[in-house]
Formats: sequence, structure tokens, C-alpha cells
Amino acid sequence: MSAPLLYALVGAGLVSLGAWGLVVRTHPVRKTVAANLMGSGAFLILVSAARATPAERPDPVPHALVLTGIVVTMATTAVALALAKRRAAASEGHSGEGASDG
Amino acid sequence: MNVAVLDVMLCAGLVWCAVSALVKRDLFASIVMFISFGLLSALAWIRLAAPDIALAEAAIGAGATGALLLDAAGVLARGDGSAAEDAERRTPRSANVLGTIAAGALFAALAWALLSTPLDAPRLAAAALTGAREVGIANPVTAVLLDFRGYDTLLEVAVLLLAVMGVMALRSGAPVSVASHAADPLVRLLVGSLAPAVLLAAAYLVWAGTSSPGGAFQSGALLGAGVIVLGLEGMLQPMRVHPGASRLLLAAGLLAFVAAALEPVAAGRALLQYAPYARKGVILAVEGILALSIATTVAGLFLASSVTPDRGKAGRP
Repeated sequence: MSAPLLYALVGAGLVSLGAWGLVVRTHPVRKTVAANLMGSGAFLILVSAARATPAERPDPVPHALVLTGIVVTMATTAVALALAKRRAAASEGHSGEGASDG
Repeated sequence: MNVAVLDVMLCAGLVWCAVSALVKRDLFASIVMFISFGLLSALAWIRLAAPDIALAEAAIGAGATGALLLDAAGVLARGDGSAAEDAERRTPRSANVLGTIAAGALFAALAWALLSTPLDAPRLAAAALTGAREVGIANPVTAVLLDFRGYDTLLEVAVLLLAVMGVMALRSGAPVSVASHAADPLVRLLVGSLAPAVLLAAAYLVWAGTSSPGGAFQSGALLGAGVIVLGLEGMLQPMRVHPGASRLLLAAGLLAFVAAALEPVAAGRALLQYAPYARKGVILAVEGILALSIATTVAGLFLASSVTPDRGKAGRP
């Protein structure tokens, strides 16, 4: 087995672990962690494929995709957590924001 | 590239950190495991010959995301922490079993797909590598990001701006978590003396990005993380003290990129088809502005949702 294949399989494992956490765990922060792990798994598969090319250097196209992905993941994480915090604040301050928690 | 002992250890560490991040009862412990996961994956990127990603992962995956998670965990725990932890326990057994079976099936399917298709299928590597040489940008990843696949990156920058707008719009009477502790003089001294080094490193990363690992995203992430640390110490509150300038910086990256994308259209070429003689200059200029804008965005994503403008330093002791 080659190293890229090993890392790709670990990536597959991380995607499944993240999916498991997303379904089974309930705390919003932990769900966000799970979604991040899924993303990392996908990145690992992409970069392993980039490493496996016979070219003199790894394929830069998946690298650029993963770089984009890491930054977008951070942005979506921030929005998800802001939503979770807002929801918690809304369910706490009963009349404060006039929002109710469903 | 054969499997070395280090690879096996790294993979085991990655899986172990991921599992602990999901199953640890203590939320703080699980976030720390997730941050460790980010640092280990930075090492994995190095092993896979992807130093650009390693830099971004260390600054964003482990740094900024970790800070966001810790902050959210703190805010949510302060409200009614016990309720959240109770909810964690209330997952029905059937959902547990079904979720585990589904995740197992997903792994089987993915592993089968990986084992049955060759990883080294022919791709765009050769085209991208020769193209990068023609543009005169020795780091092919930067060439792909800002030239060949510039459209992706343009939209990514738009996504970043949208995200920070969303976070700012969601800001409400959320509890203060920034600068709420008594400032420790030692920490202030350390942070204050590290700040210039962070600034220098960020500037270097933009400049180096054309020829070696680095670029706007790594630089912006590093600078943004530096601003977050300064913000945590209450030494720099860009969103509060200079709201107008901060907003301008948030939008500057996208505006500059759109301008660079449209200029070729005005000159009769296609969108993002930079003039051949100006390619490197345009890319460097866009990267410099992007780095500042991304730094403001990374800091804004954290500080905008954590700081309540009026309450300032009042908060928990």
C-alpha cells in the first residue's frame, strides 16, 4: 500500500466519523466539529490523489481547491456558531429579542 | 512514496483525535482534541507534499476555527450549560444505532471507491505546472488560485464577505467573551511584542507566495489570528474603534478582485484574462489587498460575534 492510499483511506474514515457525529451528537458545537472533520476527510482524499500523480510535483489543482475549502469551512463554521449563539441568546432572553426558540 | 512509520503514527493520531473530539464528554476537552487534530493534519499535509495547505491549516483549521469553537462553547455553557449537556445524553438509542450503521456503510462505500479507482488517474497537473512556468509564478498553487482558477477564488472571497456579513447580522445581546478577563501584564507584554513579528511574517507570506509556499490566504489567516489575539487582550478592537475602516477592509478584497477581473473585459479580453505582461503584477497586487481583507474577515468572524459594543470590558471576573 502506498502512503497516499493510506491517507486517502483515513480521509474516508474521517468523512464517515464526521457524518456519524453530525447525526448522533446533539450539541451544536460538537455538530460543528463533526462537520469540520467531514471536510478534513474530503481534503485528505483530494490531497492524497494530488500526491499520487506521476508528475514531478504534486498536482497543484487539488491543492488550490483544498485551500479554498479550508477558508470556506472556517467561514461556514463561524456562521454556524454565530447562529447557535444567537439561538441560545434568543431562548434565554425570553422577551429581549422577541424571538422564540422552536 | 511508501508508507513510513511516521505516516502510520500520523494516521493513527488523526483518527484518535477525531474520535476523541466526537465522543469526549467534556466539550472543552473535545475542542482541544479537535485543535490537536488540526495540528496533526498540518503535519499530514507536509507528508503529502502540500506545504501551502499546511500553512493554511495551522493558521485557520487549528487556530481560528479552534478559537471560534472555544468561544461558542463558552458562550453556550454560560447560558444553560447543563441543558445542552443533557440534550447530548438524550439521543435516542435507535438514532445511535442507525447513525452508526449509516456511517459504517458510508465508510465501506468510500473505501471501496478509493480502492477500486486508481488514485493517480491523469489530471491537470502537467497543464497547471507548465502554465505556472509561463506566467512566471514559481508557486503553481498560487498560479492556479489567482490565475487559472481565478473565478473559484473570486467567488470564495465573495463567500467570505457574505459569511462575515451574516455573522455581523446575527450579533445580538450575546454575552461578552472578549476582553472580559482582567488583563494579565505578562500576557499583554508577550502579545504586544509578538504582534510586529506576526505582521512581518504575514507580509513575507504574501511576497513569498508567488515563488514558494505562502500566499494571500495563509498570510491573511496569520494576520487575522494575530488581530484576534490582540482583540482578546483588548489591545485592538477594529470592529468597535474603526467600524467604517473595518467594513471597507472587509469589502476591499472582493472589490479589488472584481476590478482586476473586469479590467480585461474593458480591454476586450475575457473575464479574469489578465494582460500577459501584467499578470504577475496584477496577481501580486490582488494578493496583497486580499491578504489584508482576509485578515480583517478572519478577525471579524471571531470578534464581530463575540463583542457587544456597549458593554466593553464588563463581564465575568
